[in-house]
Amino acid sequence: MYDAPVSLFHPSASVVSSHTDPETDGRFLSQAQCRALVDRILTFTGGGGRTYVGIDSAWTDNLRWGRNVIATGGDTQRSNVSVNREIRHAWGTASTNALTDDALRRCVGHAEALVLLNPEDPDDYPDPPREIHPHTHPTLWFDRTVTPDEAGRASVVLQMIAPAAAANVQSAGFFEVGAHARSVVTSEGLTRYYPYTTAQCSLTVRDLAAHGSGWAGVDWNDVARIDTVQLAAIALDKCQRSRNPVAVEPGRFTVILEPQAVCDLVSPLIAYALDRSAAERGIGPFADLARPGYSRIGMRVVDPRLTVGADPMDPECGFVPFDDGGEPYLAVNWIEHGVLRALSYDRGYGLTQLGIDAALPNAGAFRLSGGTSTIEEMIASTTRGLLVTRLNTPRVLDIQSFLMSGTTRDGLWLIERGAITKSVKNMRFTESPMFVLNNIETLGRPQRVFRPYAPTVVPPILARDFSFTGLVDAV
Amino acid sequence: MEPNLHALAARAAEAARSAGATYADARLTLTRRQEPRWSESEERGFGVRVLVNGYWGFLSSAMWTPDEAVRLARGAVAQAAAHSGGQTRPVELGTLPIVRGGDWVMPVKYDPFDIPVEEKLDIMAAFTDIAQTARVGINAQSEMRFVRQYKVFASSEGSSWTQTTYRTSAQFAVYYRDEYHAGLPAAGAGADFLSAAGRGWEYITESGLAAAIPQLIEDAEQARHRVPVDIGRHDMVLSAEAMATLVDQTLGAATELDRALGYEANATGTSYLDRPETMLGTQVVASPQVQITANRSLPGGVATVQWDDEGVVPEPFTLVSKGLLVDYQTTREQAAWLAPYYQRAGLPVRSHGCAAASTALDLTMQQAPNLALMPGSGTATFESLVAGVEKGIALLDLSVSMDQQQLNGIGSGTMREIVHGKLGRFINGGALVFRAPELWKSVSALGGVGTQRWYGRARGKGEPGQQMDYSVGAVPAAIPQLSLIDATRKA
Repeated sequence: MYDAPVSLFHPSASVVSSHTDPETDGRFLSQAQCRALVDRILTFTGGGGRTYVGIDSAWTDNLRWGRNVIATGGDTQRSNVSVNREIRHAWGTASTNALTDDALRRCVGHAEALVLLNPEDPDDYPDPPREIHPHTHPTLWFDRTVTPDEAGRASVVLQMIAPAAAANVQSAGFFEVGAHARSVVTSEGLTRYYPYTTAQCSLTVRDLAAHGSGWAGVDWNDVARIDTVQLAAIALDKCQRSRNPVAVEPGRFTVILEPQAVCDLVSPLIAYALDRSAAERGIGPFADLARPGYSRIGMRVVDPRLTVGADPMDPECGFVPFDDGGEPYLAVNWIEHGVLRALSYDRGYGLTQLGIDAALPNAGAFRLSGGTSTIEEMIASTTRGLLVTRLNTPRVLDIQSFLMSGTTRDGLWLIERGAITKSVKNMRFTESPMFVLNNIETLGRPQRVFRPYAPTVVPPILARDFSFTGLVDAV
Repeated sequence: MEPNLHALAARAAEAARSAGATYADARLTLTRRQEPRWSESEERGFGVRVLVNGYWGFLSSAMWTPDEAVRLARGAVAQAAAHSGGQTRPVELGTLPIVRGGDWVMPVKYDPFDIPVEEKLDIMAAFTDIAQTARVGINAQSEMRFVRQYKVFASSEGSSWTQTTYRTSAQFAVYYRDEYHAGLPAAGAGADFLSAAGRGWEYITESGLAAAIPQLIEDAEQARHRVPVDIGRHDMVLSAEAMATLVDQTLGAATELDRALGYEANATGTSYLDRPETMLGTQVVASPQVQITANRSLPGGVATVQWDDEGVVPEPFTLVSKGLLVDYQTTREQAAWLAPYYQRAGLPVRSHGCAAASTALDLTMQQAPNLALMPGSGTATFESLVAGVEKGIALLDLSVSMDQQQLNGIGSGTMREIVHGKLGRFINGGALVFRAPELWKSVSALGGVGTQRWYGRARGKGEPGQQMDYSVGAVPAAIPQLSLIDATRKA
């Protein structure tokens, strides 16, 4: 129904130009500062063994509004340092955000005390990589995202509030930008540092008297890709078109899931079901219960039109190219043309089960392949069905089938004979993404949705037999 | 040498005032967290919140230096001024008694951070050993978590104080290995045996853990032999623990004033009690015997403090009286929003002391106080309520997910049949489906004095999200004709 956002913060129309080199930014730790910090930490360690230090450093700045007024803001700098000490395969971990010598010394002391209390566990904590695998270098830093410009951002938010206020409805939302660096340094010579920017914007527009509610949101590394005016327009439009909803009897419906609803339904599967070791222990939808000890890798698990993957270099869906432990994220297709091709594992699993010095970590980010249909075409092709904006608090009821329950919110419409006919009261659904991904009629064009810190690109989906199990009269 | 935190807080408040803030408060926190064996952490926070032209600004960082105090204060003023865009918005904070040099430490017998980690690991290992050798096939798991937060506060009004709070929790769970690997929850395993409390190390040592092990094992054993749920309406008896979840997730969350008025609409949601001006004092939200109170002074409460994060001394207050909605949870700014109601009712316009933040890195907002479903007038107990049901279902614990107005919920937990007034077999796959107003109005009996139990609970709120912990006290209740569905099956 809506095109992907286009730029409002267009580079040419950009705000104050100010140099924001990650090395000199000052609002978060530079590569040199991280390195100096780790050198200091290493002087506090004793007793041999290995040291691994993870640093997440960030500056974030947000504006929050409610009832058409900017209610609060927040500008925060924080650098969390995690010190991991390993001696003979026994580990101890401690962390601090205080960067003084005293605090770092205490932190190392805590980690070393825990080493002595923990068992040696060579399977779970293998030797460090014999070779350091290279990682890719996606473009995740955008100066314009983090240009110091409080007034500029406030004026963007006021522009988002204005249409709602003019329509006599209530807007509430959140706009945050951030500059971050993830660093991993080990005593064994691994040195990784990656700066990136983040931006997210979402809003909910509500009509209290007429029981309407609309929502829109998106996140990107580049703030210029967030079309705030369009987001505000979408949320207001959904609010107005969802007014005075009528109840529809629950049951199985053909549904058009907008991309955000697809994300809400599928992302728990990406977050919780892609662990290879768990699947081989019989846990989750990718366990092969007919062959104890095996996963379903190699078997068809969803509609053959679907490919589910993640690639840090994906220009629409890129992410920091290594995990908290410094393991590189490789481009991976978890599911290829409907067939389960890979599940994630750590280096311990790689070494002991596969005989390779590698891990396959899951970044949580994902891209779900799509087709070419527009939502308008999907509506036109539907005799009777429901158009779903998004899903609220899906909760996994059964980990094996991945059956989930949650509610619709912020816009649900009845489609009859190829057209939207009514705004419908929200409903509870009880459904598994495994089932939905096997009941697909039509796929639309994938687009970036709202999932801060776990970039996600998914298409709208027209699916059969989606199960609604109850009325929910919340707005 | 550690910096003088009082001086830093005062400097920040003063710098904000000279930069043009009409109000400012500065908080510094030092938060220690420990999960024995797994992790230790120490986190600093320095947050400065200011009011300019009725708009809030907030800056925070982990640096404790005089220069940083000034940077945070001036930055917060600039931010608030940018938000106002030259407009002025009325904000009434009311007046507050000034506290100079106050110091309060949550009364605990033993600071958990004075206890060696070895001693904690010994207790966990002993629990695991005893449980696993007691019966073949049993697996036991244990975890402990300790938090201590030291806070220094100064405001532009001249208040300054320090406060130390504690939070201790543990999980001692017992389950059968085969059940766990089938992906089933550790049913009947007492996973919340020691949910969070505002107590010290004594919370663990005085818990009666050793004596509880046989019962935990017995529960896990019985929970293996479950019968399928009989879907439909049932007369139910809910334990104090299950009721605590309902208090928390329905009326507890719905009486947060910022949620009710829509300020949280884009985050955790709003409230089905969303018209305070007409609902207060008139809206029937529960059966007449239901009374729900709130306080931040309960000994052992997780949200218990001497001063809230705006310097208010919280007093106990009532949210639901005789089934009527009579108040909301408020901060200083929010109390003024209810002024017309308070004045009509002859009540003072005063914050209920619900301002809180996870740490000084996080912005202060309205957060849940300790909440309590008060005992009924009779002498009923969980057992006597069960005895009064010929055929029904007992709900021993509960976790729920609610819609964005806390109105409709679905919950699952440990369920047992009630047959001729006695607890029977465990039930598999049952899910409680309910609408909050109807559920509360249907409460037919409440446990009496002596049946109230306290549980640690937590909810997320705000953008960026903060998770806050508090205690919820509840009594068991009988509620007829609740709906159960089979959660493992679709329509």
